[in-house]
Amino acid sequence: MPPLRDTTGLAPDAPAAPMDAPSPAPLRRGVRVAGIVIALLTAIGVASQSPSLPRGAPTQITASIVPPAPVPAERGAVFRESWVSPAGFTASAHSSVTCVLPDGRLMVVWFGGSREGAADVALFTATLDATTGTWSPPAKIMDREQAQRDLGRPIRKVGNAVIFPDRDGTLWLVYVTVTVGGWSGSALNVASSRDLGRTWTTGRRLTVNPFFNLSSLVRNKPVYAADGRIGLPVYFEMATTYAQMLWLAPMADGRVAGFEMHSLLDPKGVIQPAVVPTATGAVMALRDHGPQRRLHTAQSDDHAWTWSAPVAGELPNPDAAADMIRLRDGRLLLAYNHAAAGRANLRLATSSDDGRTWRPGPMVEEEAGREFSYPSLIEDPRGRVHLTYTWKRERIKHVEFTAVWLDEKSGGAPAQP
Amino acid sequence: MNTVIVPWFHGAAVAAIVWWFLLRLSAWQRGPQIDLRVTIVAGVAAAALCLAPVGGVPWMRWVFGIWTNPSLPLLGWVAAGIARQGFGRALISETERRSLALFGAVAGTGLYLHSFLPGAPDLYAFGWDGRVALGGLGLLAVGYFGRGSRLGIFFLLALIAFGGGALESTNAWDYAVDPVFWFASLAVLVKQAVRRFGARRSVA
Repeated sequence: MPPLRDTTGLAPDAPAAPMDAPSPAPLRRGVRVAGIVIALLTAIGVASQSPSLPRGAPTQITASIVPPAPVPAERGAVFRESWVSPAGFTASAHSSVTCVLPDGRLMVVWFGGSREGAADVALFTATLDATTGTWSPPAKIMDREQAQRDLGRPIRKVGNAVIFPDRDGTLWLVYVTVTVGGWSGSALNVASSRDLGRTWTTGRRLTVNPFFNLSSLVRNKPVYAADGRIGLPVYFEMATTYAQMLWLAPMADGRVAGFEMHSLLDPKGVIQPAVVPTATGAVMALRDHGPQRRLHTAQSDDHAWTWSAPVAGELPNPDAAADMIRLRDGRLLLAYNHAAAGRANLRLATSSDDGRTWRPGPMVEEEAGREFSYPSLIEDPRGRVHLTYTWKRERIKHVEFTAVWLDEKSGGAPAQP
Repeated sequence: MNTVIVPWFHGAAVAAIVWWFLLRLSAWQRGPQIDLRVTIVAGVAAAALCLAPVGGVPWMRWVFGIWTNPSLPLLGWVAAGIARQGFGRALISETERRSLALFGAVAGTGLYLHSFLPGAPDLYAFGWDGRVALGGLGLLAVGYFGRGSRLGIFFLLALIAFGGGALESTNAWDYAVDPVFWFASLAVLVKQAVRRFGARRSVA
């Protein structure tokens, strides 16, 4: 049998190497010592030049940077519906996320195009005029071509995005792009706006995973640490699936000073985390990507830094996104698909014990064979709840309601403990 | 991350890897002794290939989109390969080459596969902690220098590259290991194991 031919140059007897390449002599003692000294000095020098960023568990987190307006809670039962995306604006619309801007307006971001994953899909935003209750025309803020220019590499498609303000009034956009393959080939990118979404900085790729920087995606809104960091729930879905927390340290000029990712490696099979602060930490709701088809929850005792293992709860989950917020009265409000299969309904539920038990509330949508999915909840400064979601994959719909309406439709207010 | 340095550094890294492949290809076709003119032509061809448009985009941009963070030890390996194959100069010894492959295989396996283990800690997250990351890279450099190995230079360069933001990644582990380095290291170790196994069988 002929000997195997080494083509790497690493094998000790690689036959393809030139014959006149003598092996270098071992490093002399002086060179070794010099190398050690230079390495130590370099490490110290690099460490001293590194920006001093907050590290470790936050001391406190909040769900919003916009303080509640000093007005009493609305006493009437209010429920209103409107459309974020105009009829026929795009053939397909999906994955909306809502935020409250520093001036109190609502802004929604979603992706739309001929179909999910198509090359013509773009990210759009619209804002709600609270006085008239009407939505602004959609504004395109990112598409495949723009992402290619920003990121300096080919982009096949854009996908999920979230939008949120920071404490300095800068608006942040974190969005998914894919160069090769499907959604498991996703990577996260960030851009910012100092004029509430009219213009954006050049997008930047975030390297958050070790293996070819695949495959983190984003779905739900962040939490805010008292030290200025922003904790964004994201998730990993290639070969295995699990939740992650991306901690961004924003700078006042709209750049990212630093970031780090923490993966919740156990158990696998849960994605699209939604995080809400609690009195002592945080609670996370997770989409079940595994066989159980139950909504999972996890608890954090150190303000969303470390988490308990997610456990299956009492509510069903058809492998679909859910979102939750904390109401002014302290209850958690959840929007989800109440089914083990299909997304033919969209329902609300409340919890008075930080997500350990849930009280199913009113159905917002229900129609067999259709899809109502990817809810996004937010409470405005007046205490009114806003819900946006994918309506039959055609449009983004918005409903707003008061806690009184919620309780009326849930069979009355819960008993006070 | 230094937005000015990153694309140039990546472009140079990809061109160097292509150059090395062309030299290997030449050695395979025409024998191990490579004329200097061939070495230079291969270098120019590598640069041209990197700039060749594919789908309206330079080919190296596609590489950048898929493999963004070439590690410094891999680039050291490539540089040593070019020097050896193209210029007849051995920058590192055979023992150091084996040691490099062993490092790539062990570090890559730990970093890329640990998340599949139940209850595993998030090893990659430590790369964002400056103390741990710089300490890790510094220890590797000091350790290799201490043993008289030139691989210490590779990890010293990794430290410098990390400090200068030469890669898009801000995680220190990406400066020490990358998936291509991991695959190549595993391939080398497997090939060596197969060769040893074959030699033993032929002796028996």
